[in-house]
Amino acid sequence: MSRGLAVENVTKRYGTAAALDAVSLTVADGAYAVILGPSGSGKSTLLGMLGGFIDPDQGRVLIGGEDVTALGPVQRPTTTVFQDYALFPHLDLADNVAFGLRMRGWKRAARRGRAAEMLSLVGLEGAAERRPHALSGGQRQRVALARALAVEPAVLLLDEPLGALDLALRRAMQRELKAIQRRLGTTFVHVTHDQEEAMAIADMVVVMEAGRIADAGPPERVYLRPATRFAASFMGEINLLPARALPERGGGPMFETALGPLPSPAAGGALPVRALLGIRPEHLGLALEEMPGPARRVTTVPATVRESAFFGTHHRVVVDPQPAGPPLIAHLPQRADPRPGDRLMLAFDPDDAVILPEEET
Amino acid sequence: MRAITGLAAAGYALLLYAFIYLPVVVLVLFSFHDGRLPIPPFRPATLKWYAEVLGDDDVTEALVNSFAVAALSSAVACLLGFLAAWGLARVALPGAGAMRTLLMAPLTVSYLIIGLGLLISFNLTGIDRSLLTTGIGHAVINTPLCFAICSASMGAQHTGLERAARDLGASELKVLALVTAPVLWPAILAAFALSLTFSWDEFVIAFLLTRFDVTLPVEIWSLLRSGLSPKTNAAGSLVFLVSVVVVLLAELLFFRRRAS
Repeated sequence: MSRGLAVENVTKRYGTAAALDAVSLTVADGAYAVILGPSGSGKSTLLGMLGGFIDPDQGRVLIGGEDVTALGPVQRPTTTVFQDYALFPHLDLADNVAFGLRMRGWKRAARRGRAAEMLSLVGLEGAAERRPHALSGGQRQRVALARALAVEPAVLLLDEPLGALDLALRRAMQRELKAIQRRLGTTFVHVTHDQEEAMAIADMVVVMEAGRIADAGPPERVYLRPATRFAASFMGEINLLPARALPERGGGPMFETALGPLPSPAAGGALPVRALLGIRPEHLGLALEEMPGPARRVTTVPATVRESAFFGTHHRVVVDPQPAGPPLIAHLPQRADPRPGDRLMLAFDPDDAVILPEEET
Repeated sequence: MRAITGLAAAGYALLLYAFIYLPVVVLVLFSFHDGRLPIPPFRPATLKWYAEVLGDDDVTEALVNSFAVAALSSAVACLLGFLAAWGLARVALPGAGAMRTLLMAPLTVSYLIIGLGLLISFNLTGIDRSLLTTGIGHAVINTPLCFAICSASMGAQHTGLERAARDLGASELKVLALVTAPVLWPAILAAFALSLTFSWDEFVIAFLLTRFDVTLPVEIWSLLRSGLSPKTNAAGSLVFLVSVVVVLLAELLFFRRRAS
């Protein structure tokens, strides 16, 4: 009974500050959506609004096509996995998981049976009679998930559910959340400030900035072709160069940048006159390497290494382009061994670069 | 030198405890006194005064009255105090601070003043003095206490639990009955036990607001009017014993829960 959801033009103000500013969003039925943003970006307000805990000043919330804006959390077909889990300390795990079913009038035996099923879904079979205080953080997280899923919500909301877990456990729980979501087909909306977490589990990433949606779409698209400067830099490191379109002279559109004239990435539609050219560090390689793919254009940039650090999967270097230009960040291969002062020839495929609208910052 | 200060400290502690507990010890001791008057020298030891007290219908009736008044008025005080604490903790109201202060202020007002006020009020409204009016009086003095205890144990983590319960479809009544009250159960029990002991041996209000049926402290007072007797000591010892048992039970329940 999973259903998609939509918010239409919702606004929420606290005093004069807008926590949400005319936000519209559609999440498809059965999708795993991740709302990503720094603290204060409005992501938790948006989630609270989906759960019915926060009333919008304007706009509508729809679940499965029905307007639920006026409904409180009690009536909404949503349940939430809270950041602090909020397990009931006076109830055992089965009664915790069965709480929502009890509210729906299930008989004790039936709801305890269903709770046992839900506990085994999250890998806690046989723990029905334990108490929340006897559990580890990861186990509490699982119980909170089982409790929220037991009532078969149309949409499951997760408010930074993995924030309190250590890194290894967090990665494991990400895989598990994704697997459970696939299995049940329920629409999940998950809030986090961790962009790796977002990319690891999302079908759809929604990047929020200061109460607005900076970009929304599949993780690959948002990472590789971000719509805004904010989305580009929040998803990962990126080199941004102010760019100006040059008059067409044959051989494709060109931009004038601090590095000199650069070919424009292939893009549909008209190019803006003024823009930012974004290049991810991993797209800047050494010119000696063979660039993969037969028919790729390559642009080279001579540079001097300013600093270098080994990150395991790559060397992260900061280079000064020659003869002039802002410092660039590049990821070089593990074996490259770059040292400060080394002169390199960097190369990138202009199609890997991305054109972003220029914004005042 | 250290030994001397240690000895002095121990001596001081002994004196302090003696100062606090000697009257009670004397009271209890002379309830076993084999003689007509509770005066030294102590002549051991008899239970006849207890037999006499428990055989006295007036005393046993007053004992039952006291139990009933204490239990019911404490239950009412707990309910009112808990609901007031919950409301003030969960809803942002203008003047919440003032309301808190007003609710707790009666703790500092003497029972005599409260008793007189109630007596005048009941007279004006034409309600006869009875165990009911005494119970009302005890609920009045114990509600601020229950409010203070419940209020102190309501924290932000409980707000999160209530929100989770609503999210799962619980109405406000069910949130209260199935989450808030059970989670705060130790505090509510402690408040109830404390109210119980306060009501159990309260004299001034009971004296002003009872008429034909009286509570045990009032009955003891009327026994005293016919002169000192080890029988009064026995009755007083019983009152003290019940208070001690209630306090110990509350401590056990409250602290055992806290520790887990």
